[in-house]
Amino acid sequence: MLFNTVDFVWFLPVVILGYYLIKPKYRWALLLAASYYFYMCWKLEYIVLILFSTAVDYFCGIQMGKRASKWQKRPFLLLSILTNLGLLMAFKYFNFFTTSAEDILGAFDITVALPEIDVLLPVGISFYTFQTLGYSIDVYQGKLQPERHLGYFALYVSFFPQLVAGPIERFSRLTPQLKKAHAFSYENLQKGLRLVLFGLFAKMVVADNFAPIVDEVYSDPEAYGSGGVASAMLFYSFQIYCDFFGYSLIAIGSARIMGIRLMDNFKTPYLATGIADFWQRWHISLSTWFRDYLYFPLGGNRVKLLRWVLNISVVFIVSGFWHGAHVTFLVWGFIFAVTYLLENAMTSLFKARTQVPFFSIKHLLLSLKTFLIVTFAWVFFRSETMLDAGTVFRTLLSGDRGTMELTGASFAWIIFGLFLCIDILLFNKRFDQWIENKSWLFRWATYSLLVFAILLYAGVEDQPFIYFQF
Amino acid sequence: MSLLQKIALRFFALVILLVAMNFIYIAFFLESDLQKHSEIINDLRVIPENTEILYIGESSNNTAAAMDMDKRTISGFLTDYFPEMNVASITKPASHSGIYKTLLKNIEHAKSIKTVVVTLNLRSFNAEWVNSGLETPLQKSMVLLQDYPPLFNRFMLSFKGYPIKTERERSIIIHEAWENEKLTTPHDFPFESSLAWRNHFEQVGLKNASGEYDTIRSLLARDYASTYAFQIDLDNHPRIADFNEIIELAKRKNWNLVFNLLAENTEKAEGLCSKDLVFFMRENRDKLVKYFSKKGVKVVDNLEILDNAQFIDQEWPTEHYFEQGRKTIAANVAKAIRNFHTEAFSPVEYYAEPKYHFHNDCEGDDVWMLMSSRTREEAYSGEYSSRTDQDNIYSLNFTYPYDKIPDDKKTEVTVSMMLKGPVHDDAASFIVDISGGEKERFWSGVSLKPLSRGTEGWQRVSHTFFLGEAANGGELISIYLLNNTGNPIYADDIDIQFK
Repeated sequence: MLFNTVDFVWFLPVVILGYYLIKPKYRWALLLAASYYFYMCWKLEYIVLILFSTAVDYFCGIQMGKRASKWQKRPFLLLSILTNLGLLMAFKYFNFFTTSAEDILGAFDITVALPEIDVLLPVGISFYTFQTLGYSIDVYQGKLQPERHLGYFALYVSFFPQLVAGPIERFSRLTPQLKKAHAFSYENLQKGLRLVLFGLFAKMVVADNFAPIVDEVYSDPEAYGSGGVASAMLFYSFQIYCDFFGYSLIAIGSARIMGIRLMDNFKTPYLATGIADFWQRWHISLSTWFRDYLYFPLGGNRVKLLRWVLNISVVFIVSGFWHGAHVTFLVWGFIFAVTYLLENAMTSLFKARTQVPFFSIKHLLLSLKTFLIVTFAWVFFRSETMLDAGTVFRTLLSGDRGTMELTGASFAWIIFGLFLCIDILLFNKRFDQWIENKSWLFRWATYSLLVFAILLYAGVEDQPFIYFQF
Repeated sequence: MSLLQKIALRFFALVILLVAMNFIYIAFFLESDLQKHSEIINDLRVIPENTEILYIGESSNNTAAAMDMDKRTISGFLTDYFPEMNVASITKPASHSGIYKTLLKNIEHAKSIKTVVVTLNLRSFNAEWVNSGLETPLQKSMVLLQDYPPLFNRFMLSFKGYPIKTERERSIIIHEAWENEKLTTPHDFPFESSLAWRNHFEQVGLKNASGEYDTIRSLLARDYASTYAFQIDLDNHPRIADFNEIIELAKRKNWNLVFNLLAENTEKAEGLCSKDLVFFMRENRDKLVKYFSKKGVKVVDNLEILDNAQFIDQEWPTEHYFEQGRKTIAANVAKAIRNFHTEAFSPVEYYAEPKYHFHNDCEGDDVWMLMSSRTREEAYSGEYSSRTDQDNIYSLNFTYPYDKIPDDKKTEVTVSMMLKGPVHDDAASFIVDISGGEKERFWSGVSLKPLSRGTEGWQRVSHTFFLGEAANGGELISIYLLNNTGNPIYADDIDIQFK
């Protein structure tokens, strides 16, 4: 079930109504059933994967809780890691490794036909496996007591608002909220609905109107010339932002109505002054996950320079690989590693201040630089192959006018301008907080415009959330 | 104010807001949305108010072959049988009962409709069609036409209130249906599902004369097996539910209802996949005829009425018929309609004599190739002529199966047209092209320069081409004006006479 569908428009109120009508001690059962239903609407059979991952991690957590030393806990941590990464490996990376192996062997004139797994990638597998992995590591490190209530643990793994594309929540943050007996609050309803509304606007009006143009250009960049490619690169930067930002807001808003606060996943990332700042504003739940469960265990920055360079590179490249089993994602991660390190070196070299006054000329120029780097990197993220990415850049630099005109570009530019203004207006703020202090007339005028825009200007082509494929 | 009052007040405000938005939407946005997302509305709007017989179908209605002399639709031929009645048609490629249902519900203005003929395509019941990739755009195009407030329909469109599946998902569903829907027969039949049958043709296949795997025939047999090897579940099939809704609608509107069960290529099906496949086709046909007849619908059974030669597509299963096939179907449908309009029925007999003299006044009654070249800009007689220019260099094109011309009329052909424009230019010519068959292609062109009077006004230009032995054996003859002058030349009253 997708957030931007009729099904969800009915599903959410029904669940919320049920949530507040039944006794708090049974709410976990309702939410768990709703979450499994939510997932099974997409593909019934794949619920087995969630159940399997839940069962193994629950068992490992309990077993680790019974043991005092890390040495005794380790086999269960390994079991949890192998199970989750095994699922990812089987469904997401298997074909990448087999085809890569075929290519490498082919380079030595050895022709082999390795098996391929021809199945649909289970939606959200990268998210819920990382979420449960985080739980197991925390239990192993003694930061958490294992959850004994299987129902709550299963709900932590599968809580529907953030099940398929995050935010990747920590057990210590989410589960206590799931257990709490939230009373109905008008404030939660109001804030939640505001977030859902703005999230739908970002996804359906902004991202979904950019998507057809981006798809059109990426399918044949040369036909659209330098101008078309430049426009598509720009639109894609905002498409992926609004798509994922919109999803996250709907997730946060839906949970908020039930009194559950999910972590923010975005904070106006394109106004970041550098790559480090960008990653503190973009997909925050993933970057903090990698920080806590990969970067810190590797030693973080409390190591020698070369080791630190290696740590940063590993984190970014693994992050790229998390997104997909393609060389293009690895290159995407590598670009961020290189630019992060370069920026860091420049800052140290010139002893530059990392904090700049907001909306000063310097801030705007640094944001522009960051945006250009990110937009450059998105080309690899969007392209299916390195050759495709090469074609995009070649066309961009060719100065050709192309033979085709972009369809719907003028409308897209209007939306682009509008959203840019909104994004600047919401710098370091969330929509629900920003609108809170406005007069009722302004608020209702804004709501009306957003509703009208969503109804009238939503892209009508089917555009699933981009991050569902991860 | 209590919490409940607070919420109720806001909810009430929202309802008022939505009602106001609905009015704004209708006034300023609905029409452009309809044109963008439900263009079919235009086909509904052009149905004349005085329509008495309405034919609704998919591409089987309007697909014609190049060699058809008369390229009219099935519904077009139907008009010949009821010359005094107003017959109209709606044709939407790849559509089915679910689409017809919505379209029929939206015909509000044509209150004089007495009889509706709905295409009943057996193939549209198979898993591949039910889950076809064309389904999403088709269903999407219907959303704005639903019987709800327009803003609600727009909401359904924006929030994807229609079945959406990716190609990959569809492919999986289709394969699952092929595998899971078990085939049962009263006689011995070696395959438990259509997937097993498909796999058999893919892996074992059909053999050619030398005993080798015949790829083309095997893959065609595979496609035929999965297309027709299914058994309709009358209680649960979505198409049946849609046809039932059409029946209910017809009752409410007081329409006579005719279901036109289309002809399938049973001859080829049997040749490729044995009688077993025809068994399933017949079983499904019998089920449908019995089921709908019981509900008071006149079902025209055309399933086995055409032989293989009447099917245009030989490489895959379709219901695209040559002229004779369309005429046969139309004749059968006309017989069924006669039950409701006995007085208006007029018997028709096509092709009493072999034809060798053809005339087209460009008014649209005679459908030749390139009808799109017709224009009202100029006309020697009537309202239309055929325009040629630098973008469209070919005129209305006479195309005809050459073997249907009587042998004693194949010595020469006289081409005569009324022309207007720079005919005296060397770059305008008459072309006779006979292709196909085993002999070398016959092609002859003559510049109009020596034939014209040197003026640019309307003038008759004629030329006689010698055909003789060189042209014999060809399959398809085409005759047209070729205009490479770069300027417009109009052609009207085109006359072709074989001698």
